[in-house]
Amino acid sequence: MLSLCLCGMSCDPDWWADPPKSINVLAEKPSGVDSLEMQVYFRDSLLYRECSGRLDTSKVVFRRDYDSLDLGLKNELEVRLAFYCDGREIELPSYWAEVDSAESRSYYFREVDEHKKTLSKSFKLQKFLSPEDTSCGKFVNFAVLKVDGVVDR
Amino acid sequence: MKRIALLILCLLCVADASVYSSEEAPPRKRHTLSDFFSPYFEVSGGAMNSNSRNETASVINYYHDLEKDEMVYDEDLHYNIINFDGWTYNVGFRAGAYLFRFWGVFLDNDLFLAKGDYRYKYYSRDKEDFLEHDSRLRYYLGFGSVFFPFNLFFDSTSRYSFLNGTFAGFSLGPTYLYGQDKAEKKYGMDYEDWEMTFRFEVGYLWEFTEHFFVGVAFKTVLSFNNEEGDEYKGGNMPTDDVPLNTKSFGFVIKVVRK
Repeated sequence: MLSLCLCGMSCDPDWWADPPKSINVLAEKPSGVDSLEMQVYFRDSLLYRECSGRLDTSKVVFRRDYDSLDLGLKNELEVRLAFYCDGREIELPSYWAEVDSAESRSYYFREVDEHKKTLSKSFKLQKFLSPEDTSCGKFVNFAVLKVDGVVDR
Repeated sequence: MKRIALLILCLLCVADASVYSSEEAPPRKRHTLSDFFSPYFEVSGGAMNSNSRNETASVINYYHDLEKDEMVYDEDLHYNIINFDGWTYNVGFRAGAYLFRFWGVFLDNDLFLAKGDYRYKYYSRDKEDFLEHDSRLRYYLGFGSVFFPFNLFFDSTSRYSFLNGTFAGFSLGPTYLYGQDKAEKKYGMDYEDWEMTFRFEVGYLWEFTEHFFVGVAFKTVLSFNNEEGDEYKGGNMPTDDVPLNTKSFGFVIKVVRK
């Protein structure tokens, strides 16, 4: 069994030396809204659309290897988020997530309260992304965090 | 004449040599194992003034001001803060070996009762804090060494006793902090439940009987812990700074058996 494992590892040495680089976008629904929708666009074409309620989870996750994206000179993903509460749709400002083809990169959209949920130093605050329409709440601590590497939870 | 003088000189030399050879040479001291090695046991008890500062440095440096409902930037923002000021009372036990009449190595155990004021704050910018008077246990398990530097200057054949005199010691190991989860249950704050501890002591030991010694020592305890964020523990996560969390100073009385 061990030799099989070793053989499997040696069959694809590139994967071990240089695993595929990816862009990861995660969004977590604030507790004050019913659900969250995330749309990811690349050069005006829709790559991903998911709603937090549909998967019976508070989180939506988009992941794509760089190889599967047709990368050019300037590469940015447009992330559009919307909250749903009391049957209303509240749009947030679009965020342009920079793609770095050399290293894996993750963007995390969520409310930040460090005393309730500790952050490691890997997270870098990009900006606060609260909605202009405050009829469901101001969500002043809804932030975009950047992480070098892959975040999958 | 010259030959006769040389002969007399030679006879004198022979006579002189025979005087000493006929005397018994002083008996040579034979070293035994106990000259170099003896078991070392120690029981100690004492009190130390102690204070702890536990907090986590903010990563985003923004604080949610709930009154204004806006995010406020603070370059020196910390959260999950707990301060302890009080006294620790300890009983300790050491077991090991005493080597070459000046050097002891041992396993170090100590049980502390930390009694005093525990103050909590969610964020360093909060004006309000929570105060609790509490007694909590800490357990230290380490490995250490003790030196009797002045014993180095005495001849190993002298009657000067082992373990007598001024000593300096150190030990290091983890200290487990019990009761840290109280704040998590009550206030939703999370803390590490152990610290890396360095202990130093200087003292004096007197011979009481052949095997028992009593002493007193001034002790310093410094502990560090690394409060890391618990989210995304990836391989490329930079390690956080290690702050000095606990400082204790005090005296212990000890009984040593060799």
